[in-house]
Amino acid sequence: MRYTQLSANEIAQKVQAGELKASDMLDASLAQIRAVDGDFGSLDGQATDPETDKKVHAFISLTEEMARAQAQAVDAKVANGEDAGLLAGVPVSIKDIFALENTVTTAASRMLHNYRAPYTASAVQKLMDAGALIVGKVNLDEFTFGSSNESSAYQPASNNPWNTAHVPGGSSGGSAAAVAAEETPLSLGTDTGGSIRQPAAFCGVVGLKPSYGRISRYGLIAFASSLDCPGPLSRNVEDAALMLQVMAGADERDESSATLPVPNYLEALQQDVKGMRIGLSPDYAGIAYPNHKTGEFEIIPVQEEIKQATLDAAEQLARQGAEIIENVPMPHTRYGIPVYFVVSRIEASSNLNRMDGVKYGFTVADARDLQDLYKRTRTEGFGPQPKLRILMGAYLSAASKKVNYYQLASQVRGMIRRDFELAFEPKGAYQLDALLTPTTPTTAFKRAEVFGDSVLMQYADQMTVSVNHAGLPAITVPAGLDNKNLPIGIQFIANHFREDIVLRAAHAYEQSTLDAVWRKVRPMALQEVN
Amino acid sequence: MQLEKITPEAFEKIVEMVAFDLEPQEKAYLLEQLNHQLQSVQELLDIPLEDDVDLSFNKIPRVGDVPRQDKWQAFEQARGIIERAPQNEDGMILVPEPASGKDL
Amino acid sequence: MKEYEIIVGLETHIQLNTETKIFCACKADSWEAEPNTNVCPVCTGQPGVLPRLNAEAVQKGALLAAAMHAEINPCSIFDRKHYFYPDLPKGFQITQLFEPIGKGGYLDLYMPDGEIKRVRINKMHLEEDAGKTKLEHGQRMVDLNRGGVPLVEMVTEPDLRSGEEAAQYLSQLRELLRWIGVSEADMERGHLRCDANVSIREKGSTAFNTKTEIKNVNSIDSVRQAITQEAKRQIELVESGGKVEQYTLDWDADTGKLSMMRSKEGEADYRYFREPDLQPVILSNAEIEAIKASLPELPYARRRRFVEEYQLSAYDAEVLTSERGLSDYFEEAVALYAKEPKTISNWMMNDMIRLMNDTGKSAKGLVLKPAALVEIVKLIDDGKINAATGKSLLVKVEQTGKSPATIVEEESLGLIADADSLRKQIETILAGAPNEVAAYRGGKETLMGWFVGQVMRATRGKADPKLTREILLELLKD
Repeated sequence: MRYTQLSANEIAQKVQAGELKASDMLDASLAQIRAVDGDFGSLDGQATDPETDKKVHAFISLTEEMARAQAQAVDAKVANGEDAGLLAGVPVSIKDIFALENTVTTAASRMLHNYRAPYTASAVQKLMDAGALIVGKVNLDEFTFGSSNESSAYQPASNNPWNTAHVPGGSSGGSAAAVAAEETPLSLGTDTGGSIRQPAAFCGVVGLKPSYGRISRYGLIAFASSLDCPGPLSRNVEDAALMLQVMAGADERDESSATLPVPNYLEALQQDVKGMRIGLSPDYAGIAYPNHKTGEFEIIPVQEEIKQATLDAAEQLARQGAEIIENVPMPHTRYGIPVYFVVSRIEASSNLNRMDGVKYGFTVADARDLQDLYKRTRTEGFGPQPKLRILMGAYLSAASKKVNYYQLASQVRGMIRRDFELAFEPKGAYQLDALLTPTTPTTAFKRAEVFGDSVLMQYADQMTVSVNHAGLPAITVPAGLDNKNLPIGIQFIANHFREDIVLRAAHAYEQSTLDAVWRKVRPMALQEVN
Repeated sequence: MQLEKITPEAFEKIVEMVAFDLEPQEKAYLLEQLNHQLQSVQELLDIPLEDDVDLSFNKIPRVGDVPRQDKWQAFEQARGIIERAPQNEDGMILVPEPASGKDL
Repeated sequence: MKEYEIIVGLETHIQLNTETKIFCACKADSWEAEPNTNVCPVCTGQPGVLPRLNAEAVQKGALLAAAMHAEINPCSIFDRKHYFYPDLPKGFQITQLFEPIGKGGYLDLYMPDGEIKRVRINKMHLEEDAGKTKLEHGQRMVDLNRGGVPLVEMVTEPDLRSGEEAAQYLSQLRELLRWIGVSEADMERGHLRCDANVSIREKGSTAFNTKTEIKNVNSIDSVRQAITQEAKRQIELVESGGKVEQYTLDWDADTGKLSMMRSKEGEADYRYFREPDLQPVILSNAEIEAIKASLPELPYARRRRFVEEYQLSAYDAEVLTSERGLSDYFEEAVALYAKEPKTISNWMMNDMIRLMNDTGKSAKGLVLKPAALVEIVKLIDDGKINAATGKSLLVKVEQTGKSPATIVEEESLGLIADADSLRKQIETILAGAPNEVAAYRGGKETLMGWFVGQVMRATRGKADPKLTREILLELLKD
């Protein structure tokens, strides 16, 4: 077996045991990147590779020198008989939205194309402290604003390794693609409305969005501050647990990080699902989408194969002793997207006010005056998606409006959260441990199929966004392939800070399907090179 | 109910508010998309609100002090931060003057 | 000419004297620091950073609210106020709009004529300061050292009626801030900054007319002058048939002139919304009670008490309560002395204030503690030293840190109270002055003073004056 096919946990154990050198692991990872990734995303977007459409393009930049030094440090520790950490020698890619001192952190935007962070994000620091090798930065939608990766200012944007004519999803599309294409076994992503889970599902990997507050947000370039969560993408559930273990915990730099003790997630995986109460909800059977041509709301049912995979998973778990509770009402799920339009846009618009060409990043030369500097910097520095979000946020939060949309949305947000509270209430009617839903309404769409329609693109997040509103943990785990050989993901959601439960449920499902035929199929991007 | 739409005049106001200077074509796309999004947002206006909803963003359990202790800790690379400014000189960030007579 | 009434409201920005900034661990005070040296990723608005609230800023803000008789908010919340300016690195200021730290409140002004004037507080909230920009050689430059320093913004209702009242308000507010220890309130250093809203109306009217806002009135004199001048301008304008327009004016303290900065065309839209990176600031009942309990007796209450309890003159009481440490010092000494408080007051008013002026120390900073002062006064009362020695002891204790008794002992400053040795010395003096003795005995009793002076000179002032007089009377009788 090639090193790049090893799981993170296997790599760390082999490295710690002296069976595998971190430096060799790094070489293997870099070789895989060279083989499958093709041109990295860049601002001029000039493709040099004739096969570029078949390549993954997960990366924006490598941090090879840093990773090399980290690998040497790990190898030296192992040679000295010291503990080299839970992630000893594990190559990790970082969504290019996290500050990493003295490396360029672009947010996939022209606005930060030359921004060298003067500090390191807390989550990234914890990975490095645990012996991880930070190999590079992966692509994303500009400032994480999208569900397809296509809005990145760094082109070519990532492709879906399963079919490179399709999008990898977003915004953590580069992360999902890098993990699926075996470039790095782990990637650090962020999830604001589904940005870890949707691309993970599209690319057939595991993606975990922890509870809000479980992992520090310090150093994550904010999209929507009350929704953003860093989290792991990996190829199996155990690795997600491992990476969460390393990153979870309080951070004195993040007032919203929880000081709850961090349980042993790897131990939690050892428990089975006997007696676990897992719910299914009719409110996750389709998405309610406003058709702006007709002005009507249409219910678009979830793709049949995804619906079937979800039901099959329930059956699998029932066979292992879980109790399946059907018809759990989640009536406010359909408002997840409208609420998201308000909350995320207002917060994003505010967070991006600091991009003004004065302190760092992109700026225009020879500005006539201060106003000219601001206007031209922001107009030329931001792509269409950030512009759209900034304008929407400004419109909705303008004091001149009759409706206080932020407050209204926060109220509906509370109602969405209450749906979950009622479902998880230990003395309630349902007493769920976890809710099982599809992760996405469809499998990965083709490039350019949805891009440009900001509303339709947003509704691709309807299955995932409510979890962000409620601040809950959720995981997506691969559950088969559709008839086009595109991956299907299913999602488990649990109560606040019960990452252990979603990991347990996902792990039980994963282990029961290890022999499934679909697991033998390799992503298209890997078939040609490996 | 008549749905709210963003008029071109209102649009110009917010463009000014967020310091953009847009081409007509870009304006047309953005305004169209904004109105589509606003249509979705207005679904919220019809929801019967429950009045006892907890408006806190997230339930974050904390056992430590939420506010920070008042202890000075100097950031070592202050100069490096200033040198990241596109226009800087001798530890100062340089900016052009505001246009005369215009208040920001 | 009609009679007009001047309507003034003041907007003050009070810099809290915390050690660190409000949302990061940078030092709050940058007084002598080079530009942009007291900055970090948080207060320069780097992408990805998060604010972390300083507990001390909350405590001090709440204490100020208590001092202003405002309700301390048990759950105050921060909001974002958006605008673009280079001294505001995030493009928004973190402030409080909807749920500020204090609600309501007032300051009672003690006017020189003895009247008490109540000035109501319209709003009071915590916020971060912006940085500074300056123009040098035609180049605009940004210094972010001040960015993120904790402020309380406090705005009065339009309750003030003249430049003089506004000056009183500012002066008494400054005293209060120092008294409760929340701000150095040094106006020259910008710890206390002030904008004034001024309008006029005909006497008897209750309407509020268009007001102008005067920016940067950053001294008590400036407030008095700028408001008086602006009110005069408005009155003259209205009298000549003009109309007051909603201007923002700039006060130039050097020339004493007002100039128009801009006309206000409607309020800017700051797009306020709740700051999602910060948790609500929760203060329990117990914490609020503790803050209220920690509030010291306020200057005017203490002043009144000094007059009533210690029978001090109004002037002495005012001087002794001009600074909290001074009044604490005085009271501590009075408690230890247990005799006439006026005696201690006299020492404080003269010698102690001189000592503080000479050493540049505050009452609190003196080496000479109240107990030592009382010890010195008692030594004089008991005739162990004379008053002049007592005064010189103040300085010596302050310089050496030794107790007064030790210094008296070491330097033999004690009065000669030994009757035998003093009698011998006096006999010698009388023997050397036969003419004066004869004159005295002949009825010129006024020479007694001269004899005492001779004894004092011979003993370098150490002779107990009472005893000296007794011996002299006895020896001169013969």
